[in-house]
Amino acid sequence: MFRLIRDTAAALGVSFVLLAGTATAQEPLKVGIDAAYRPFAYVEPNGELAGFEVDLVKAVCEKMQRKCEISNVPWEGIFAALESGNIDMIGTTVTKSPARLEKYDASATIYGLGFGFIVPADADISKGLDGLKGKPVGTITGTEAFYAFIKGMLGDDADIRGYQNPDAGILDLDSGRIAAFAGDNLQLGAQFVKDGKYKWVVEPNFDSKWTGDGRGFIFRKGSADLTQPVDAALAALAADGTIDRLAMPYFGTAFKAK
Amino acid sequence: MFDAVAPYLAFWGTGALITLVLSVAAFPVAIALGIAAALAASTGRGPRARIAVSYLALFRALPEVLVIFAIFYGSTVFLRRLEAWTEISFPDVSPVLAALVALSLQFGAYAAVIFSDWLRVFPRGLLEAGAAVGMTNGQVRLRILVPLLLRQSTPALGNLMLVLLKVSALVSLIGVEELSRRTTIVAGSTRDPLLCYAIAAAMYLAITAVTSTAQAWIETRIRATG
Repeated sequence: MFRLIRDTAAALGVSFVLLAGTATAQEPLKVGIDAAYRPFAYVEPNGELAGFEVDLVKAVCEKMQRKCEISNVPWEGIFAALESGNIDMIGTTVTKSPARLEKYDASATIYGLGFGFIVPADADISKGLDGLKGKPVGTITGTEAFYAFIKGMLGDDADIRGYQNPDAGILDLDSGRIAAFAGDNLQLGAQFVKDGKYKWVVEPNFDSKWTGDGRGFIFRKGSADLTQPVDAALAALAADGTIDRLAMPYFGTAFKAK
Repeated sequence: MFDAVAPYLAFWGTGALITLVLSVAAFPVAIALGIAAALAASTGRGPRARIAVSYLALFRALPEVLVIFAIFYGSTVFLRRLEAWTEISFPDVSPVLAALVALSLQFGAYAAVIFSDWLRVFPRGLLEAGAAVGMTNGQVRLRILVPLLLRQSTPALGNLMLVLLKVSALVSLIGVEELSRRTTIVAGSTRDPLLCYAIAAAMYLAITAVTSTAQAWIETRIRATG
């Protein structure tokens, strides 16, 4: 039946995309966010999701005039959830690395970012990055962009230890099991450097060779019917200053969407 | 220090309750599967025995986390395909349901091994006595074999229950917000991971204390009724 409609539509020259677009608009968009990363996304004591990404996704959905169902999906399972269809969009802002863009569709860049290494505030950083060579360095498991950055800075034989989240890595940094922890300027800056207990080895690196196209939302390949309205909504929210307004309370700084 | 974490205790405690409920719900299913598989395997031949033996071999070998992933994401992919094919829309697979199925299947295999061991040393005379008073095969199983098997297996099953409680933490990976997932969330939301893990450890201790007490009570009752 469906095939018949489609063939007829194609034959009549009616845009099928238009048909499918109006059909799916009724269904809520299923968005998965890993809400365990304050200030990006976290949970309030009453169990409500909160954070920059949650506010942004809600604003995007409002702009698109589409109902969204946001669920709290752990990072370790978030790509599997996307591929299997449990969710339609990863609302956690994900680094748009070339490897990921090959497998997935991405929204327009929401914010650019820089990568860097942090060490405890009392560590000796007089030798800069050379001082880290040959020493174990931590980062988040499964984030190719960070792995490539570390190898680019410290050599291909860099001893990289993966952690589930920054907190686990920082615990090992405190205990001396790793010499430094690599991550992005926003997360590490807002959580660890700001309060003075940790410092950057050198200023974060904003070279797009490492950071790629910054961060955006991720979709299954072939989701043009989703990426187009989301991109349009993001562009409108950037133009009217909403994204910067949403970022302020969480990061204390406005975003430069590159 | 505790101030940031304290408001989360209700949210967190619900997670602990979910851990307990998941295990308590999956365990009877696992026991039933285990008994059925052990009895089927003990006959030694026929298709039923072969199915039971394959089930044991498969689920004892596979890591729990793979089984959980396979059942949750696998069933979603399967339903989507079926949807495309039949054009009927199915509801989304609930992570909790997938978790229950995965844990029951896996722990059913472990339980079956416990029952198999006891079956091997089960006094034949009791079964013959049942037959001698005119019970059918089914009645002998239901009235003599299964109750005695359960009774003898109680200590080993109690142990298995404790393992289940802890292994159930893996279902957090498919988004079930049980104790370990909520601990990660609270740790990520309060930025005080060490304190959060310490509190989670205390919660796990409390849960195991509850189940151990229940097990001790069951064992005393069994001894009392002889």
